Amino acid sequence: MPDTLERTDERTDMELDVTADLEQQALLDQPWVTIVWNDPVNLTTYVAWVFRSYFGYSKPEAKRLMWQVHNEGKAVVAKGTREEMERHVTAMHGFGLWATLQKEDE
Amino acid sequence: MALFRATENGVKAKFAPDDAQTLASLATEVAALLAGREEYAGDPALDRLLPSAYRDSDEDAAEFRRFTEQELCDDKVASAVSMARTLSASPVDGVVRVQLDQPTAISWLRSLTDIRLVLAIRIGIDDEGKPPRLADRDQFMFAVYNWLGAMQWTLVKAVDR
Repeated sequence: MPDTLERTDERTDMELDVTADLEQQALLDQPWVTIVWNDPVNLTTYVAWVFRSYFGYSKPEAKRLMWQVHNEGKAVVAKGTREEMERHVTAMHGFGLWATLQKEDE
Repeated sequence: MALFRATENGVKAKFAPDDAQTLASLATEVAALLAGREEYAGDPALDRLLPSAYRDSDEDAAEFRRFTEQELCDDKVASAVSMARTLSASPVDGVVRVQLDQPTAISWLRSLTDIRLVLAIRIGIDDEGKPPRLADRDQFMFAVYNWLGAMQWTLVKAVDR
């Protein structure tokens, strides 16, 4: 039954394609993060204000992130698509904060 | 020393004419540095004003810069130029009165940050925020740097309501 065999082969190829697509998609879906790095210049009040006014964080959350940047040297301030993170990084640079983006698990 | 206070729809401060002039010149210098960034390429202050968006990929960083830097730079220049212009107003009764609406006050916060970032590089502020041993001229710059920090603190408080 060559017809059936051929169909089976086709399906296998298709399944392989689907698996490859899913892997590709998983790579694309992997979230990106915006990281703000500590610097010796920016005032703590200013950094907390930027986090609150730009990202819309609550006062306590903005302060927590600001202290994390200050004490640990950096903090993840946003997570999402690469395009969103690029927009956030540009905004942070506009405020004079030192920010970068990368894939979440890097 | 100029302290900002909240008003009904923005902020206000009084500057001694010399202080207004000092800040206006610094804003103008930062605007010139940014506007002439190709000419001043390699100046560490520019690296801090327009940092790399990607730490681990020069290629991605360059690509990102190609698409975003011009606009970011234009915004910073416009903001600094506008600040310098406002500060160049003639003194009345011995003071330069500055009144800013909320969006302009936020633009001042950005420019004050840019100016302080450049000063910090010039003075050599270390990772803990302390200056190295300073020559006399840098003592003045360090005093200005601290003055602007205190001013910015009052501006954050006045804007943040």
